[in-house]
Amino acid sequence: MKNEAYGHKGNKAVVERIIQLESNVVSSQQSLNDIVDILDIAKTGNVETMFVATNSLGRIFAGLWKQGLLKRSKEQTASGAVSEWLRGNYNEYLGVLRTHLKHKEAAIQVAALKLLMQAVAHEGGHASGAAGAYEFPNALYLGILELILDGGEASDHLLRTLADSYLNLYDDLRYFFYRDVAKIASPDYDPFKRGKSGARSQSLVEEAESFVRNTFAVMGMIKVMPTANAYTAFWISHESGNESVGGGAAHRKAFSEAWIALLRQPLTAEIYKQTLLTMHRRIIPHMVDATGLMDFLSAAYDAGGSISLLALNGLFTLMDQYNLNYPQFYEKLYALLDRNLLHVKYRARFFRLFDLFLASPHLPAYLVAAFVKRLARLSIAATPAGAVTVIPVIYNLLKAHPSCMQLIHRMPSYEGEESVDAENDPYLADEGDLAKCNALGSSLWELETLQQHYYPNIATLANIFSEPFHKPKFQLEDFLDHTYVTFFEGDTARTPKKAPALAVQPPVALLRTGDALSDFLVL
Amino acid sequence: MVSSGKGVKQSALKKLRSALSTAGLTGPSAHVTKKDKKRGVAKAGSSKTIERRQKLRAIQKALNPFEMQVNRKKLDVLGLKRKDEVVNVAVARQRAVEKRKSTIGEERKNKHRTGGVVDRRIGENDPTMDPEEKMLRRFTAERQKRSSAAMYNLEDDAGDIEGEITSLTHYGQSISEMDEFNDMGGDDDDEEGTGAVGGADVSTAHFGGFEAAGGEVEGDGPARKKTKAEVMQEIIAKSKMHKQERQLIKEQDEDIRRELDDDFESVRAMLFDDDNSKPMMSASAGDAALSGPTNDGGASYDTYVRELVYEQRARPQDRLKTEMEAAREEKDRLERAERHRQRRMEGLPSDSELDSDSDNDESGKKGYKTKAKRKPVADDLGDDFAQGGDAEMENAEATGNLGLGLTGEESASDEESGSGDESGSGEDDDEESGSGDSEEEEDDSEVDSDQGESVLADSGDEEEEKRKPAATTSLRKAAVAAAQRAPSSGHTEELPFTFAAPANYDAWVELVGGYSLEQQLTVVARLRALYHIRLSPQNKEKLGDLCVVLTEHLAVLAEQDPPVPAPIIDDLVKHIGELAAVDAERFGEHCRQAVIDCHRRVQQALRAEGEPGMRASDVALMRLFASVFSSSDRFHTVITPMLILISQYLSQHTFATLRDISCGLVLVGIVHETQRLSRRLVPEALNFLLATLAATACHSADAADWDGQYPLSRRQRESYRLLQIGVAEKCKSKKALPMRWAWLLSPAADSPSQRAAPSVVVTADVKYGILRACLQLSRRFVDSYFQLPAFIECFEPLQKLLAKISERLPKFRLQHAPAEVVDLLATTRTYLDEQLDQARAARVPLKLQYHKPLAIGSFAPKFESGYNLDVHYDPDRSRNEITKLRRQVNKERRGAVRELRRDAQFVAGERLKEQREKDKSYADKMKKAWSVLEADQSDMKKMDKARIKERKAKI
Repeated sequence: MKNEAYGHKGNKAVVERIIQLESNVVSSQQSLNDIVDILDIAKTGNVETMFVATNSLGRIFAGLWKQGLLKRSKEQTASGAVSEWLRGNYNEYLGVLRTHLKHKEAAIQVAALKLLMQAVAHEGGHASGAAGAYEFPNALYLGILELILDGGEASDHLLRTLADSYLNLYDDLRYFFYRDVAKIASPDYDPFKRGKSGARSQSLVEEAESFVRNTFAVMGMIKVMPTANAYTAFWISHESGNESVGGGAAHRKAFSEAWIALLRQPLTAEIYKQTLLTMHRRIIPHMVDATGLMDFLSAAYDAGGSISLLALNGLFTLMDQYNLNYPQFYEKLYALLDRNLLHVKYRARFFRLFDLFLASPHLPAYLVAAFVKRLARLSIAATPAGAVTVIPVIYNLLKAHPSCMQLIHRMPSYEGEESVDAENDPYLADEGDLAKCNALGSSLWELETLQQHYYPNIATLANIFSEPFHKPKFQLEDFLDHTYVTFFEGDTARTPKKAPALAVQPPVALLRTGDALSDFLVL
Repeated sequence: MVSSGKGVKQSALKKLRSALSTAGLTGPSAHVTKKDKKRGVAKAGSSKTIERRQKLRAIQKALNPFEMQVNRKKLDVLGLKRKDEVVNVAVARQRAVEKRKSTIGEERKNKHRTGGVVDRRIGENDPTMDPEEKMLRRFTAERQKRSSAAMYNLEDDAGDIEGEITSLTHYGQSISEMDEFNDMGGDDDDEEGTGAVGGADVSTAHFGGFEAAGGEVEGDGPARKKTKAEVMQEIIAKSKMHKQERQLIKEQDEDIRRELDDDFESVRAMLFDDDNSKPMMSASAGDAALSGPTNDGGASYDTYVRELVYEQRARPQDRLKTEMEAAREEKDRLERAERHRQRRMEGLPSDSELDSDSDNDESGKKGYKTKAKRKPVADDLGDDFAQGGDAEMENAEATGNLGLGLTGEESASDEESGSGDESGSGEDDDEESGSGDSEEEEDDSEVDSDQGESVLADSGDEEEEKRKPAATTSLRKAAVAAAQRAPSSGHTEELPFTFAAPANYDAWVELVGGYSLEQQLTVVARLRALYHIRLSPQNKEKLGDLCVVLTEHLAVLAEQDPPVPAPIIDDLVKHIGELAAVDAERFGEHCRQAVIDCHRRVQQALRAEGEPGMRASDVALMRLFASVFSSSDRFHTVITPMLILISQYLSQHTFATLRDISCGLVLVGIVHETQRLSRRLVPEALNFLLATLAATACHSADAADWDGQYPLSRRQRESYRLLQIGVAEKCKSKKALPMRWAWLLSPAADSPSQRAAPSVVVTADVKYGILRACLQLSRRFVDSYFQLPAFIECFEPLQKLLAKISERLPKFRLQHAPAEVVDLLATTRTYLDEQLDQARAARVPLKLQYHKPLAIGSFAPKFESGYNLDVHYDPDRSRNEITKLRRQVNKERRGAVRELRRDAQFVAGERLKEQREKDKSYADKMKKAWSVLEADQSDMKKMDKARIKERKAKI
């Protein structure tokens, strides 16, 4: 250890003492009692001495594991008594490390985690009776995980270390992590501290929240997904061939159970959104039975607002690949087209799917017309970025469904019906039933209005509805990722060559007489 | 050519002979006696020769049909006569040879000759012409020459009219020409010395002896004939009198000249008063000219005259326009500007070419578009630097006051100048004073040029400055704040009249740092007068800088905490508006940067909340841009980004404070102003307006309360809680407060003590004020957007909202609400209802796909009824044209080649002829020599024979 680094005098002395004690312990069995002293320092010392003491203890116990002194033995011999005594100290050491996991100093937390994981390795490698057999000390591991995930104290650094140095690298650790997460999250999990009182106290609720947050963070950081291949990397050293961990299928099962258990927990809005955002890519493909997520997704889809938009992606994956039958899907989709749709961040995502949902040429005209009319209605209150998305979508829909062309072009004798009662727009904006909203009888005056949009690009784009429909389908991808900023930067990127046009009459005052501002503003 | 056959086929010679005899051209001709000749048969003979010639030509024609070439006609055009229907090839060849002889042949003859005499006498080289004919020709030519020369001769037009009879001649030349001669010779200084008698006397007296003149004199009257002595005396007296008169005139001239010389000093001072206006005159030259005459007259005068040659001449000016013309021109200008604006509004280019097409009339000359197109000419004094109408500038000057100082102090300054004159009068006599002045002038000019350079150098720095505006603003603010605190009274007298033009804002702060706001405006007015665009080409740049500086100043003033009084802001805006036209490019770029700058700030504020992104200064500048620029354009480099920025702010900012909300409402007002003419839809403005309006009546917690299609998140709903008018809230003043500029100001950290309390506390008065503003704005937008096809869809939510508010206002106990607001609500409602009803009545289904049907393409094969090989049936017009041209070129080339070949043949023939002649003459010469020699030889032989014979005989 870099003892020189510790400048403090008192610390230096203590550190020297620890080194002295450690060398005593290692050199002769007689001075095993010094372990107690080091343990005392580890419990009571300051941050630095604690760090040194735990590290030295870790080395001592590693040596003891190798010597086999820590193995549990049935014999009532002297050596049995010694190992019993040592085990007591060892447990005490683990207890110290556990408390360190909750330490406010991130470095101590990480150090404690490392020592604990070493302990797990040693215990797994040496505790089992048969040499070379594989046995995972899950009780210890579960305790560690519970301590890390349950509290609000776990630092980002700790979580990242757990994920990067252990879970991403070692298959057995990951497998047991999933299993333990499912175990911890299950409602009938009865650790000693919970369940004693029937009702959850306030602190427990907070704890549950932090558990979800931490678990979600760690699961998000796991980059290695379960595959069908057998395991290759093990944390517990053993002879290969006789693992009791199971292959990819078991792993997938553990993964699925962990997620389902996690999603049963009460989620905060942000985690909810995060989960939905990544679900179709990171969760669903790796699950054993993705239909288990159906309830979760349907609930999210029914929640309304942006949550619904996000759920759409996962739901679609289920419908597409897992034969999920969702009743009233288009009605729900129609309901999603609310006043905020064109203003939310996730509209690009939504429209990619929307394009997909309405791609079928077999959809009835009334349905397409309803969607088109609703989108057009939304577009007159939309941002330029929203409007620029809506126009190609509508164009593509009209192009794919020529029977909807009457929305933008209706002659009096169209389809032999009597002249349309133009004064009453038959469209019912508040009607949720697609068949009853009469969109097909209406006209898209909104699109004609967009031709007079203040942003010239949109006005130009909207003009395509007045031109013959010769254009092939619009590539929607080109129109999805616009924002105010892209528009602004596009307009100001080039320095103009010509002088800007000035007003015909130069102003004579800041507020023109007759100006709207002069009604209510006093300078 | 001897033909073998007999009978019908005769030989050509026989044919000719018989033809000549039948025509009566050969054989026994009529005998012409001498008698006949005298009677004038000779005259008949000339007509006979013509007849003869014609007959001969006819015989020639008839004789050889193979010489006739008949050109085939492609198209028989009725009534069209062509020259080349039948061409006599032989004649044509002959003609060509003749022509060559006269051109190439002549050239060959004169090939190595340089000089010589060309006989240009008419008919001299024409052997066919009779001498009589020749003379007649020459005579007419002479007459024509005379008459054409006299056509422009003003002096003797009388003679032209009456013919030759009146013009007198002497030795074949007219008298009038002789008068000219006199004039030429009559040089007054010569006569003076010699004492010769006057030309007139000479002409009358010396030519008196001629008959014609004498006859006229005699015929004049019955006066007795003077004796010679009398006549001579008269002549002498007359000549003496003339001489005296001349001397008198000369003396007078001399006097005037001397006087002019004396005055010249002052006149010249006037001429070279200001160097700036006369860039042609270099400073040193002017200096020399000024100091020159006092030192040595002659040399400087010469140089001076030489300089005057290069001096600008006065140019004819356009006459002043009458009031009506000026008014019509102004009207035309406005109409044209409006037309351009309309075009730009539709997104079409408003080019000057289109303009000049449509306005070819004289009104187009004055338009600044055409003016700008005119290329600069060397004579230009720089008048054309103002692109914006000069009229505007002049109007501005006429109306814009130059400040109290100028008008009020004129008398004082007069006095001052008087005293100055007194003190300076002593110096005027000194020779030094002039040079001293000139030195001063030089200094001035140096200063000017320095400024020009510094401006140029600064332009590079300005960009850097732009990048760190935030750092400097605080400094500036401090400076201007200090300026404002400065006492406004008592300083007026101390305002100087001339200032250095500020190149940037720091210079401006330095310049006006100590003056009050009113004085600052005076400074601006004076700066504009000092650096008027007409005075110097550099002034364009200076005024452009001034305009930018004023814009920045406006931004600073808009941030002042007790707001700057409106008249000052308005005056400043007026200046900016008028100056913007001077250098629109620079001003536009500055404004664009201001918008970009503001966008960056708003972006930052949106990302990290708490910081007010939009400042009061931004709002003020945007309002300025909306009226300075042509905001109705479809795309505008300043207005379009500005609208995007405003829209982003309105739709993404969380409006939590009164400052934010009032800022938003003002922005909506600005949006309305930009769309006043173009009436384009700005959804964000409507959304914000509806949300704000709803906020006064809806519960923030109740989501169902906020129905409508304007987007609204929960956070926004929460933030609007501020505006909700409570049930128990009472409007104390019974009046809705108008919004104040102070509401827009962000809570400044530096002057917390000055913060007025009412802008923080949102009382019922303020809420009703906001409500009233919303209602007024909505009404404006209803007016603007009435024509939109989706007017109903856009404004039905407003209708519902108004219904809800008016339903709830009674609940808030109507008596609490100011009557003004209640009335406004009612009128707005009824107005909107009416408009919506009208719109519903006028609504028709869309017919966007109503396109003109396209003709179906025909695939019938093409068929030509009268096909002709010679005609090209190429459907491609241009290709057809090209082949036609190519054919023409080939034809021409062939013709040219043929001509050249014929020329070469001719030349070769000529050369051969010459060679033959040469050979022949040589042969003749040799023959002669031989014959002489042979004769000699034979003589000698004869003599030898004779001698031998003699000898023999002797023997």
